[in-house]
Amino acid sequence: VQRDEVLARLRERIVAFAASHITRDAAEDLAQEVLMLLHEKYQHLDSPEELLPLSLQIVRFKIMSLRRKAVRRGEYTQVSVTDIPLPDLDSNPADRLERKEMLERLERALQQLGGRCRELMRLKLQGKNFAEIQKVMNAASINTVYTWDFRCRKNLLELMGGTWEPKR
Amino acid sequence: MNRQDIEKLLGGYATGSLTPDEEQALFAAALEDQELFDALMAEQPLRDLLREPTARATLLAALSDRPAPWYHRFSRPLIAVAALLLIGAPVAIWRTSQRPAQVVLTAQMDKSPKGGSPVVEMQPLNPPPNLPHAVEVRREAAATRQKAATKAEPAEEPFAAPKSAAPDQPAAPQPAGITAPSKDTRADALVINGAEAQQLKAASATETVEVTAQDVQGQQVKPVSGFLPSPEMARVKASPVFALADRQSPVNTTVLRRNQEGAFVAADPNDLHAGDTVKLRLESASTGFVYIWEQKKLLAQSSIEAGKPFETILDAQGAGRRQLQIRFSPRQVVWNAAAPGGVAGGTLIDGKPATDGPLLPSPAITLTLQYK
Repeated sequence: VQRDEVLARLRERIVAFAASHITRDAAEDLAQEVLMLLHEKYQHLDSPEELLPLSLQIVRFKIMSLRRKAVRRGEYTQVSVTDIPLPDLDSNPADRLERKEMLERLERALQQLGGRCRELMRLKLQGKNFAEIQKVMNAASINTVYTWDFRCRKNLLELMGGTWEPKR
Repeated sequence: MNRQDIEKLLGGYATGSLTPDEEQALFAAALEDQELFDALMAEQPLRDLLREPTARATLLAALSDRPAPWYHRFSRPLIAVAALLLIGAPVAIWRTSQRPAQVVLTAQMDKSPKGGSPVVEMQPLNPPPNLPHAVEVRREAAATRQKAATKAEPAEEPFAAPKSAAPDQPAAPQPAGITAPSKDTRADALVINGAEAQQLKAASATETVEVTAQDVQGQQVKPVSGFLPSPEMARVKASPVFALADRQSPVNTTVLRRNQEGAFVAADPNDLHAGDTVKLRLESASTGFVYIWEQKKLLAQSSIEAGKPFETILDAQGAGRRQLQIRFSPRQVVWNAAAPGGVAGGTLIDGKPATDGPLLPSPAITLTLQYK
């Protein structure tokens, strides 16, 4: 798949996703800004495996920034491309507080998981992929590990109230 | 991979657990599928968080802690119960063992009907149900007297004692010498003469005994106008004490004599010298009271603890024979020392002993000292 084709599909997905959270026009603008950023700063990336995670991250931060500004100022202000410092997670106290809260919720939820899920999550956090986890946990097949992981993730998400991020 | 298989890769996205092939499959599908793209977008906060080494380390540490087993939920209540048992059980056992002896009999000074010398009235109380040697004596004199007064003729056996029984035990056959009670009970008391007392002593502690009012010679007591004459009444009232005493006379007596060095050594009571200073050492297997008297004079009385000897020095005596009587009682017996020849157990009647022969049952121990 060519880079332009990847970016075109990305734009389509981003607009559809953002439109469900912000206005359609804002979603169009948001997608445009993401693509401009990818074009200007990440021109060396061309595969979906590189572009898609990056675009997801940019979209997330842009939406968060939009929400904060709208709340703080009480008005909608278009986010400048240059306002997005990727991937500086320690950019402001609000982010740190949000991550801290999320980390605490996640920690509590993990401790409520069953033994197998805890072991699976532990191996994943150690950086092992599913094939390696299959060997460690003596799973019959890798599909078994996928199924275990799917159920564990669902369970973990339920324990966290349905979303990873704190509800607002 | 079909759609369901692709969705199962979502969990690996946030943790970075996907292989390149898996990533490629997932992202390619996400570009084509909006729902999958949205799902990936939803995983992005977690992915961002887990990219921080400190956050990942924190979660790993949380996962390394072994989850508390299910039974740990009950650990605190169990610990509390165990602590309660550890502390409470010894205390309960100690309190049970330290329970003070319950009063079975009380002595009450009373005026005789004729206004003479005071009579010591031994009145049994309701014994505790689990006291093995308890003699249950219920006194209903007032009611029964009134009842008797209304009758034209008194019953042949006006004084019937109630059952003397240890609770929770089946009734045993009546011992010889103890007759069945009259149905027309005038007063409830326990009268046991000497022979009966010996039988009672030999009987089991849990035995059920029924006795009637009799004097110490075993004769039926005749009522006067429906009431028991004072001397007999006194004997009747005093008798439970001696019945109890006779059942428990576990006193060992040792005679000691002071030697030339001034130390007391064991001596033969039949081989004492005139003027010897003699000491009596009494040891009891039970806690109670010991009384030593000579004829009708009380020489010594004391409480005595099981296993702890009680010692008393006797007055010096010239040549001759001396007979002491020693009695053990689990309860204290009132001794009217002011009365002439004070007698234990409230057997004084009109200032005189109730009988010439001792109303008291035969002493548990008669000790003869022979001074040469």
